[in-house]
Amino acid sequence: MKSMAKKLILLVDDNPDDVDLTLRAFKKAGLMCEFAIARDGVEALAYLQPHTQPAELPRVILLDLKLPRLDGLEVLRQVREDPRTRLLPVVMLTSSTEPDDITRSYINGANSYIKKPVDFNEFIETVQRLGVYWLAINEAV
Amino acid sequence: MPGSPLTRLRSRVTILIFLILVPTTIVMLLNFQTQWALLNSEAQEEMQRLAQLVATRQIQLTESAEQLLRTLVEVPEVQSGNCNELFMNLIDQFRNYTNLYLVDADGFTVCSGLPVDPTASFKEQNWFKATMAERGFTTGDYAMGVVSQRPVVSYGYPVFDEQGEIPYILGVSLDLQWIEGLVDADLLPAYTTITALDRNGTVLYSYPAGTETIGAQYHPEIYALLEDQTLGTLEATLEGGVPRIYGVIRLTGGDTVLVGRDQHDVYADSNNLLVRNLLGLALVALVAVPLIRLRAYHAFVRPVEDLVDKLKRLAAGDTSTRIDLATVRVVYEMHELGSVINQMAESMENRQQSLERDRDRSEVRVKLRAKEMEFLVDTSRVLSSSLDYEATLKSVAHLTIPELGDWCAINVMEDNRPRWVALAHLNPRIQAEGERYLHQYELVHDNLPNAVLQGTPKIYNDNLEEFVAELTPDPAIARMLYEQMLAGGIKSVLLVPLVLRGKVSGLIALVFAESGNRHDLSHLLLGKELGRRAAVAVENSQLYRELQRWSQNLEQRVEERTRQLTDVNHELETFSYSVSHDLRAPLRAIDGFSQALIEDYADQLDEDGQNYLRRVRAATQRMGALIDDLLELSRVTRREMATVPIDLSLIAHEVIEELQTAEPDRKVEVIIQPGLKADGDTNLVFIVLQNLLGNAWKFSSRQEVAKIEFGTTRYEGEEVFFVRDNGAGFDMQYGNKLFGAFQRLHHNNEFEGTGIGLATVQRIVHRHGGWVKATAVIGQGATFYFTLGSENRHEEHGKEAYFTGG
Repeated sequence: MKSMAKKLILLVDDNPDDVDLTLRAFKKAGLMCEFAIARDGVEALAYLQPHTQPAELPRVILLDLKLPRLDGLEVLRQVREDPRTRLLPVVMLTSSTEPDDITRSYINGANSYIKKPVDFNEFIETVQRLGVYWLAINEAV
Repeated sequence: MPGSPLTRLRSRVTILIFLILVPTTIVMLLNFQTQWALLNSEAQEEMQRLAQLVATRQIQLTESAEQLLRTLVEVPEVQSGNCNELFMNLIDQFRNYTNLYLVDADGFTVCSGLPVDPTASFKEQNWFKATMAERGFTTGDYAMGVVSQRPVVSYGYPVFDEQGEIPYILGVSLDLQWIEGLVDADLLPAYTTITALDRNGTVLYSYPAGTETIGAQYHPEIYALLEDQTLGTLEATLEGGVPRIYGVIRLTGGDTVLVGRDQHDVYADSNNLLVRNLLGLALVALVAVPLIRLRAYHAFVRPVEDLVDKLKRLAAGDTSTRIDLATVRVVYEMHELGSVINQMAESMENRQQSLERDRDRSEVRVKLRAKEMEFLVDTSRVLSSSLDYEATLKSVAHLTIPELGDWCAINVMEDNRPRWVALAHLNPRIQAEGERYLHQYELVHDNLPNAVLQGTPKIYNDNLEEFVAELTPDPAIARMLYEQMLAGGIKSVLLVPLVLRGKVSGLIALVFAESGNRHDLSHLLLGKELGRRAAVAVENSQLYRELQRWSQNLEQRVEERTRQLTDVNHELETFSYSVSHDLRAPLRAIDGFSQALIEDYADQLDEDGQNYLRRVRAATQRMGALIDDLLELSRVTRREMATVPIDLSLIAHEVIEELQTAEPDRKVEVIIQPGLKADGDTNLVFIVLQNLLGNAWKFSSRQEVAKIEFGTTRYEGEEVFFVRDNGAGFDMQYGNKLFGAFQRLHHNNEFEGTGIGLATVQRIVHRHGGWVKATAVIGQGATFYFTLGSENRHEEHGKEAYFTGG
């Protein structure tokens, strides 16, 4: 297991409200982690490119579906194509519950699909489980 | 010698008289024998002609049936098996058919023009078997119609599907009583009988009525004689013990037509003449005897010997023998006798020659008839080969020349205007010229000629002025046309109307010009027959075109609607997606930041302020629930259904377990009838039970002993599913609002809910072809009844499983 401190999460979301609330939810859930924020698909892919030299790849990507410029599914597809990132856990975190979106996400290699609930307390609960699972329980490559 | 009684003059004279009378009588009888032979030959020919005429009508009936069936198999209603109404209309229109029916491959009736026993199978009927085996049009045997109770002959025609299988057979029953009207009785000589047999020798009809029993086997000894005759005659004594001469025609399919005439009637005139001649002879003998007695032996013995000699030669068949009247002029009576014998000999010679001529002519005529038959068969083949009548009529026009005319032009009424559709001439160059002329003619002419509208064919030989008067009321134009016709060498015109059921739909004009031929009765009869057949073909194809136009139009409209629907569906999907994604995001922000305020700024907010924020959050969450439910409602309409057999009891247990897990403290008595099965979409049916059982769970929450039941029952005579609870119930007065979206009968502070669940339930059962209804009493609970299509199935009656929450 890698070190418990400073777990990096890449959060891809264009809505600043959602970004703030997600960060708050992680804080409230008591999870110790660091966030990289990408506000659209292009930024997300740029962050993952080797020339930006990130210290290390994120432990998990939280990816919204509906994004400006390059949408979530396209980001997912390219992440899975790149040998460096193809094994990264990607969790879809989105508003949509359309069966089509869910199916397409899994087909393109999403590891998990989570609907952002309206109720903030519920969201905290969800984030807590999600964080614990992907950062602590799950054994990543 | 003298003294011998034989040599006496008296005796000699007596002998002489015998010598004269006997051969004379022989000659007379020979003469009549010749006459009888001629009469017999004439009668045979006439009977053959009549047999052919009747046979032609019979062929036409079969062809009409084939054309009807051929047209009908193309009709979409027939191909889809939804044709009861169409058939009812058709047998109402075509009275000569007792019924039309479509049967499936097992012989069971799919549709029928008359009500039939649906359990009765046609599988053993010979026309059904024959149509299956031959995969084409077939004719059945004589039968007594099951429904109509009239003698019928059935015809079958296969309907092919795309794989070339035969899912249906189309059948039609021809009413045999109808055939009787085919023969114009006043055209027939007296004492004529007509009998038609099918290929098994069964009597299909007989004229006059009652001569033969319809449906009975025809005289087997006669039928055996007919086996290998195609066209012939026979003499027999059958009906009523009357000897008759029969003309026989045997058609390709094995059907036979016999036309018989009483022999007594044939010979009656001739026999009367014979009696008169014999009497005259006796009279001559009586006058001659006293004269002979007075004359000397030599005066008349030699002439008598001469007479006897000549008569012998006559009797031997030398009809050119004549008595030299100079040798017998001594005795007036001898002279008379001689001239009578000469007359007889001459008449015999004439008759013999005429008989020979008649034989030749008769042979020519039989050949001609065979050719006419062939022509009609060819025509029929062309007419029924295609539904494009313009092309068909062009081929028919070419078939008529040069036999029926040097020119043939066909005009058909289209949208109440006559239009030339075909022109034929043996020479294509001359035909092209004629076509140009015909189109000019069209301009001065906007209705069919009156003679044609009367429905009978007419010949114009030497009265071409009359013909042009038919074409135009304007005498100047008529004059011009007449001169053009004379210049074109037109000799004879036969105008034939295309008539069907009394309606004139066009004309065929047959014109003799350069050949110098004239139309006669045989052309007229043949032309009339041709006109009738062409009219059938024209009507069939017009009907077919109309059907085609109609179905194309329908297809176009369906396509358009489908496209519109697809567009709308697509828009709806885009809209739902936006709702799903974009409407929830701001709600999350409102809820999240309200919560943040409550948590982080609790010390700066008083109790009221915190209360307001809690209410903001409650409202936000309710809106979130509404969006979710609305999405589900729209999704159940859009989603494609996968219908499979499902176990509703199992799904109900799952739903109840979910509800129990969410509220572990509730104690509810749940009774689910086991083995409830239906065909449906598993996900959608799950949503139905989730909503109905969820409602029952929710509305019985105030009950001390809550009870929920799921099972089947009879509702208005139908086996239906029901979900019953003993909860709050509702006022039936507002029952009709129950299934509308956002309709709620309870206040939110009593029972939570979005008011969309039952609308969702209704949409789902409707998509399954079922329905949902509710009954309730306030405070005593509600029962919801629903079906999923027509087939609710359930097993293991009587056993009930109890599931008690708690």
